[in-house]
Order: sequence, then structure tokens, then C-alpha cells
Amino acid sequence: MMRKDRALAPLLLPSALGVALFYLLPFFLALRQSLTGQGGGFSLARYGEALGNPMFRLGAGNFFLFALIAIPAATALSLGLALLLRGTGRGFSLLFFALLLPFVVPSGSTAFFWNSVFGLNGFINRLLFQNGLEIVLWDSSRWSILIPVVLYLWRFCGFFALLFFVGLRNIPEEYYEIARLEGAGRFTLFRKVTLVYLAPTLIIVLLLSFVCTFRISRELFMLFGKYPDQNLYFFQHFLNNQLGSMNLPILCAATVLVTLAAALAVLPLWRAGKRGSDSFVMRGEGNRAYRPRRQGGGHTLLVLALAALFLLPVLLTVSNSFMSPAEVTGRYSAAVLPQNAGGLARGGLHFVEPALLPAQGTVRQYAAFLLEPAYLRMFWNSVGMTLPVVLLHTAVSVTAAYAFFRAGSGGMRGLFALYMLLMVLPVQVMITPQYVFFRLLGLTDSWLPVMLPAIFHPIGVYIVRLQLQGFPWECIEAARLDGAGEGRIFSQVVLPNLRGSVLLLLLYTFAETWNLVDQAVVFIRDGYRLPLSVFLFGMLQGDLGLLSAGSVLYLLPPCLFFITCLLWFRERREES
Amino acid sequence: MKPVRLMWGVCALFFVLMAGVTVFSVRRDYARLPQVELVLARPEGDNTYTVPLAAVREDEEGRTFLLFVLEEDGPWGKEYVCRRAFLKPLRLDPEEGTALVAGQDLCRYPIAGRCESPLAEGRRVRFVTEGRP
Repeated sequence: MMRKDRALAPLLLPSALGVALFYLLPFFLALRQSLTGQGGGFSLARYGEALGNPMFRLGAGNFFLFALIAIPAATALSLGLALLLRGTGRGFSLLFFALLLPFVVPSGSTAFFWNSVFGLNGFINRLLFQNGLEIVLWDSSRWSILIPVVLYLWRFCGFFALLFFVGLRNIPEEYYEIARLEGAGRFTLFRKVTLVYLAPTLIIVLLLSFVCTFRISRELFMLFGKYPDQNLYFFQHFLNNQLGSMNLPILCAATVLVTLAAALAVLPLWRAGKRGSDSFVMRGEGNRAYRPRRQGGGHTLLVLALAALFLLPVLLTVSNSFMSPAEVTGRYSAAVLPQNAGGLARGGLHFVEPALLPAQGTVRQYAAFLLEPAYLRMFWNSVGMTLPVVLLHTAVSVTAAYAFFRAGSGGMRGLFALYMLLMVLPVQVMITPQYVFFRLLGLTDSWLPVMLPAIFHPIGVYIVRLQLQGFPWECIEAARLDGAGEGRIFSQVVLPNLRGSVLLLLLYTFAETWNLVDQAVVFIRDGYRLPLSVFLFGMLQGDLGLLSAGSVLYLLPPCLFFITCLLWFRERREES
Repeated sequence: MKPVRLMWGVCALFFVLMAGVTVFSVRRDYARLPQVELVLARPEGDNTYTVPLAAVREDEEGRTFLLFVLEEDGPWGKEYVCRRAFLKPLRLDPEEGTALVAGQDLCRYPIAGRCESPLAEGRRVRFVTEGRP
């Protein structure tokens, strides 16, 4: 190890120890278990069993198809949104807010909305019926794979658009001016300037969109349960169901197989990203960023329509929470009831009647929710889990990212590549090794198995490391010449300039931890220790009014936090 | 006031309100629990016990039972929950206000005696005073 790397060790140590303990060690335990035969000797039989399992193959195939559609669609759509954002003057803040809100909204809060879109009596079938077309059982039709694609686009496109937007702002205006002077049209400008200088961002978006594809299983579980139609059965269902029946050896083999597949998928992206980052051009302080020209009314209308589309699930959830139980039942029930007898129906099937304003507003659902101590306990469980994870994860990630940024040895680069691989592994894949590990330690049925892996998740290091790529080395050299040590350079030179990535990391970690379901269900047995996200997750078949009120209360903290972070970031930018 | 400070204030207010609502809700929930008099079965030998008549309850089908009060985990700590045990009294003494019942380890847990409202299996209760059979 180089001398400089040794000086950086204290900054890297907490993260490296956490990753080794809660990711690598559990993975090796799972690897060992997967290679152990029934007699205790070496055997590959578990892999044969996993690969031969028709449900595993079905889940893997469906997931592959989903990723194949979702990743290019999300990339194209988010690039389009970023270009729209870049050209937006009026309505920028609204569109920015609307695009990013789905990313922080808990899955349970909007499950009811999606159910009322894709259900048999849902909004799409209502439109088909009104236009004289045959209604479709969406979750078992041949188009059902589009359901997770739509959910994925709604949830993550805004986040990717933000990344593209930052990338676009880093392209100096001069490049466009020169190209224009040479007679380039709009399409040529896009192809020869925008796309070329956006390539590193494109790789990052592709990598993160791959990571996020695994996260859509939460919504699928919520909408269609553990055993959905065969077109919607993903390998995450297989892993969860096998874990439910405690079939650990096959699970461990499946975990290793998925890890290998993820490594193979990510390796080319990582190499391309590394090449891209080496030649990444940052807009210098002296260069102007692209500035939007004055836009017409059509553009503003488009911006407002898009903002409304992205906000619609949240707005309808808020509206439902102020309806009386009878009104909610009447509007969303599939059965024809006295209270919805005048609504649109076909052969005893009543179609949903969503409304942005309740007929008779009431806060009874909120009162019912807030007067139940068990719900409040779960709300505070969520707070108790989220706050330490957000703070510690940010601290550990920022210091480790700085150590990786400053380190020069091949060993550190190899370690960072390992972080990247662990980063892309889905939660459901790592749950099995972590379950084996925490069971050995006797730590199941507590918050620790949920919180510790979240605190040391490598994605935070990656996000901060991304911003550090553009950090000017001259500042660090100047500080070193003035006699500053690594700790001082980090705290007084680098850290104050990391606001953007720290903000993104805070938001990302808050949204992820506030929204966690899988880990809590596996590790926490005592119902009173579960976070509210799990309760909302299982409440879709219960009292819909109560679910809406709980959903709104549950999405308030991430929304408030999100708005505060945005305002704080804007204020700091204006100050500097 | 700067918008950021205002938003931090709104965030803080939200959590303070939630904390206030939680305290109110837990206290209200406790105050609404039926007050029950706890009694202990008095051993009489040969697995027979004397309990107050008020502790012997009857369901709609005419079956008699005792309600033991057990300590269980609740959302905000320990709770006391009624658990039913069917048994037929061997002898009733209306003058003394007691009943003789038979069963093993009946004195292990306190029994729900007089209560201001009807009690049933799974009902959470709070205590008034300890009574004596």
C-alpha cells in the first residue's frame, strides 16, 4: 500500500469494515453453504437444483425481459425530460418537484392508485369500455410485463432526468455556439455535441437504472402478492418464497448465480464508465452553461401536463384520504353497491370513479389512524430506523468516497470495483446471505440486521465519488502545500464542496430506508417493531380510506425533507 | 424568514405534532380500557380453588369460564390481556359470593373479577385494586 493510501486508511476503514462484515462475509457464508452437499462434502448439486427449478428460470426470464424494455425506455424518457427541463424557464421548479417526488414517495402510499389503474375495474378498462372495446385482465394478459415497466418509469425517470440535467449543464454553451456557426442543425447539435458530452452521464444512468430495476419488485409484491401471474413472476418472488420456506441451500446457490449474472451485466458498463470518466469534460468556472430561451405557451402547457401526470398518483391518494369510507368504497369497489349504483358498470362490474375532490370532505380517516397507538408505534419505528441510517450512511460514504478519490494504488482501485459489484446486487439477493450471517450471530428479530447493511451499502460511496471526479486537484495541492493533512483537506477543502452529492445521498438514503419492506419482513418477527411501510404494504385489501390517510401521513416526512433539501441546495447555490 | 428555515420549522412542527398525537393517543387508549378488579384463586387442596362469583362468567351458549389476566407485549410496552379458560364450578355459594372450581395451576395467574363493562377473550384491561376471594 502506498504511503498516501495508509494516511487515508482511517477515512476508509469504517466503510470497508462494514462492507466486509455485512456484505462480503455473508456472501462467502452463502457461497460455502451453496457448495456443501448433503453429506457435508463439496458439491455443485445445489446449483443444478436452482438452475433446474422451473420457477427460478421463469422468474429470471421475466426479469430479463422487463429489464430489456425498462432500461432503454427509462433512459430515453429521462433524457427527453432532462432536455425539456433544460429548456424550461417558467414552471421549472414545479416540473423538477413533480419529477423527483415519485422517487421519495413510499411504495405503499401509491399502491392503491396503481391498483385502481390496472385492476379489472380499473381506469384503463373503464376507458376501453367507454370506447366500446373489450376490457382486459391486465395482470394476466400478454401485455402484463408493461405494468412493472410503467411503475418503473413513473418512479425512477425523474431521478435519472435529474442526473441527465446535471450532465447537460456541464456542457459549455461555447460548444453549441461553435457548432451552430459551422451550420449544424438541431438534430446535428444533439447528436454531435449533446450526446457526445453526455456519454459519461449516460453510462451512470444506465448503471443506476440497472440497479433500480431490482427495486420494482416491491410494487409487484404489493399489487399482485407472492404468487402473481406467470408473466409477472420475477426471480425476486422465487427468492422470497424460498426464504419463506427456509430452503437456504438452494437460495444460497440462486444468490451466487444472480450475483454472477449481475457482475457480467455490470462489468462492461463499469469499464465504459471508467473510460468515460477519465475523459470527462467539466464546464470550467469561466464557461457559461446553456441558458433557456424564452419559451412559448405550448412549452409551458407541456410542462404543466407532465407535472400533473407525475403528481397524479400522489394527488389522488391525498384526495381519497379526505373521503368518507362510504365514498371511497363506492368509488373504487368492483361490485355495484347502493352508493355507486349510478356509476359506470358492466354486468355487475363497477368501474372506478377517481376524483380529485371528495364529494363530502372528512378527516375521520386521519382521526382513526392517529388514534390507534399501534399505527403510531410503527410510524416511530420508521423514524427510529431511518434517521440513524441516513446520518451514518452519509458520514461513512462521504469519508470512504474521499479515500477512494485520493488513493492511487491498484489495490484501492480493485476495492472500489468490488464496491461497484456489491452496489448493483439487489436487496433480495443479499437478504439470504445476511440472514445466514445474522442468524449465526443470533441477531435476528431486531432492527440491527435491517439497519447495519443499509448504513454500509456501497451505493453512497459511488454517488459521492461521482461528484468528486470533477473536483479540481489544484485546490488539494494548494492545501497540501500550506501544510494541511488528509483530515484537514477533507474537512475544510473537499467536504464544503460536496453539497450536491451529499444532498442527493441524503434524499436517496431517506427514501430507500423510509420505504424498506423486504428486509423488515424477513428479519423482524415482532409486529410492533415493524416500520409503517410494511403495514401499508399489507393493507391494500383492508380499509381503503384508512390506507389513504396512513399513506398521506407516511409520505409527508419524505416530502417535507425533499422540499427542505431542495430549498437548502438552492439557497447555498445562490450564496456561493 | 428564509424559506429553508421555514421548512425546517415545518418539519420540526410535524414531528412535534406527531409526538403530541402519540402521547395523547396512548393515554386516551389507556383511559378507555375497562377497569378490572384482579383476584387470586385461593387453593383448597386436590386441585380445587375458591374464586369470587364475579369472576365466573358465562357465554351466550351458557358455558362458564374464568378470564385470566396475562401480561403480553403491546405497541407501547406491556399490556394486560384477558385469556379465557372454560371450567364448570363444582359448587356455588351465593351467600359467601364464591365458587369452588377445579383445575391445575389456577392460582398461577390473576383472574379478572368485577369489571365495569363486559369482558371477553383477548380484551385488554387495566387494574383497579386487588380483591380477595
